[in-house]
Amino acid sequence: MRRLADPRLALPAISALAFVIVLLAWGLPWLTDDRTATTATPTPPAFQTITPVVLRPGAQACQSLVAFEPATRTATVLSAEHVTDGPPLRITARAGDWRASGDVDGGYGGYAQLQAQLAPPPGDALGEVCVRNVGDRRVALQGSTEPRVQTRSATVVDGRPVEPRMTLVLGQGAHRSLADRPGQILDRVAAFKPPIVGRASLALLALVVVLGVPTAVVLAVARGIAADD
Amino acid sequence: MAVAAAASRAPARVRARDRVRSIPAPLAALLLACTILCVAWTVTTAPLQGPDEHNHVGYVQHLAETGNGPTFGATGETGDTWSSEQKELQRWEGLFGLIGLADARPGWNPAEEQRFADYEDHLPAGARSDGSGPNPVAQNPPLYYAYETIPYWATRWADLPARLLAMRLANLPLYLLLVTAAWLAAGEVFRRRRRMAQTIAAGSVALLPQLGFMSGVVNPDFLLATIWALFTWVALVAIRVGPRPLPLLGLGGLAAASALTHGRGLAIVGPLAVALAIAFWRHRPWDRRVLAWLGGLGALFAAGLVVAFAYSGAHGGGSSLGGEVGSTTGAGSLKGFVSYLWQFYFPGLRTMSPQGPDYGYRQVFVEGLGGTFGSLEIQYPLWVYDVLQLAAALGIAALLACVVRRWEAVKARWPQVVAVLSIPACMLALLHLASYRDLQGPPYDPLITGRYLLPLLTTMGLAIGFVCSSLPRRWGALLGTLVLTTFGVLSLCGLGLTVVRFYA
Repeated sequence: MRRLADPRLALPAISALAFVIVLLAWGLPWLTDDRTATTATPTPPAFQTITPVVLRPGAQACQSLVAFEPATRTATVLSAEHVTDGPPLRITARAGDWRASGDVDGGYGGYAQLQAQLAPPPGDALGEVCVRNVGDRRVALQGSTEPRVQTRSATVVDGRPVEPRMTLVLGQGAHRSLADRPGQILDRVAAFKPPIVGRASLALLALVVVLGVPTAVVLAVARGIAADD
Repeated sequence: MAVAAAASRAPARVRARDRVRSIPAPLAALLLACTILCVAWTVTTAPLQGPDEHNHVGYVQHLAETGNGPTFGATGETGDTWSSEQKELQRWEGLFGLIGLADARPGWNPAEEQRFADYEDHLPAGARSDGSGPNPVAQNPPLYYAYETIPYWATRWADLPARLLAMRLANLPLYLLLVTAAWLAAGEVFRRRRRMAQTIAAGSVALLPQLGFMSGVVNPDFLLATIWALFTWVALVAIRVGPRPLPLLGLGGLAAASALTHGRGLAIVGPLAVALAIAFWRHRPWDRRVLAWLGGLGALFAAGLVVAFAYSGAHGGGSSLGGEVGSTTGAGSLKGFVSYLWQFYFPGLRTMSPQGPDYGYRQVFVEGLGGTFGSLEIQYPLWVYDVLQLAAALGIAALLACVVRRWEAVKARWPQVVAVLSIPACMLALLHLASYRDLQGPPYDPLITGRYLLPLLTTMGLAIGFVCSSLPRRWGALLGTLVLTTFGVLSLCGLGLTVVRFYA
């Protein structure tokens, strides 16, 4: 007990304990909490101003150069009107020989997320997503003309390009935690980076961060604060 | 010959090892933490997602490829804000729509990577050099961008993502220099419990989450912060040793570097004048040689100013050196400025009319310095900022109480105190004046953000070190431990939030 009262031990111990407590109290939920698992955002939601993409009954809006991966299970568009009886939609995805489609039931409320389930593609690919209004009323889907949302995926309605990009998000169709898919997260961090940044080096870096930063702080406390006390 | 060369190399190795070993252990530990944090922030922040990073990178690339920076206004040439190569990366990795949009994710699909790799394999002629502007940061002086051309050129054989990584990592030497300067400045100020005060001062700078984050993105604010930290140390040395050649030339060179880095860097004129006045006042009379060295300082600074203004004039079009200095909106009034200043730091009084949006001390000092990452869209839970705000208020109260309690000691060291205080005073005066002027007309932008305060971090560190070394021994040590640990913990949490924001 007397040794614990010695500041040369107590202060580094307090620092180390604080790191451990936070890593447990914040880090564990960070790792294990389920989150929406997105696989791509071909066109993200508008930053400030929504510009609707209107589809008459039977009309179809398509986006090209959309990225699919084997984990893709859903396609989501957003309603742009405060309605109570939105028409049903059919969402179709295709890339090469692969084709999948899913339905959004009618009767949805305003500004709802309209999600269709898709059969997963066999591999990573670029392709097209089309949303067809299969009801008998018009529908307005969220889109944007904001310059920053002018992604590579142009929106075409019935074959004619339109100015707003239709908001489109692809997902895994389930909430998943980081701990469920560490390899996937590391691969995502490593994407568009030089080969030295890969699963192994990133896993090592994560370990160095989690252990190294607390160790360095505790060392600084031990040698700089506690030792001078 | 070979034996002689080997013999000369061996002592050199020994000397280098001795030099490394001579680094005090607490500083070495802090530098280790900085290195890890810099690499981690570099890798986890998605490309071009730092504040205005896409424009800063465009500037570096154009400077590196053509030897000339981009221009602020339209050039009439066929160029664009970013090069074709950068636009292609933004296109395939979805980086432009990602900026500030929390719901967006970068491209990570191998099919997207392949498309961009195909483009790089058949890079059209001029695709790296056609980002001639208009670039919104082109009026910035060129020093930081010129520095960043070194890693750019060193990795020119590689594709753009690799060059981006190298450019970000080039902040690491600056980070280490900044923290070392804070350590040395604390060594100049503190006599009482010196090692502890140095560790706390340098540690609270090194581990501040916002600084760690900024070390991982391409942005001239990081060089400006480094220059101001070095300036703080050299000014304190100059005050101690008097107007000797090295400190004088150092001050002149750093002041020039500040002006050459950013328009906000011009605020260094005030601290420079204060440091020189004190150094010369304390060490009178002066001989001719001293005046000659002063002339050398003046020449260095003047050269920096001339180059900075000439460069910005040539590349800034209608804009002047740094938007903050050259605000062209309404001038306002003294009464309005006082009202603005009050409302920035305190709740407005009933007699005061609102001055711009509800934006002030909390957003800039607490949230900005405490940590907002990415393009400001990544934040801690609000209660974290509440706690930080409360801690900052208690810290300021403790600082005032310590000043009162140790007034005689403070008074005895008035030259150092005045020199250090002049640094935040001049920078904040410039920022507030520019912000107030900007609020007088469209777009009514309050202009100040947390990263603009990075040049003041050494002052902040010294203040925390002073409080901790003034408290009863054990309480001071405990407080210092808590500050460093809190900042370290927040840095880890900030990294975690960033991973989730970009990759979950």
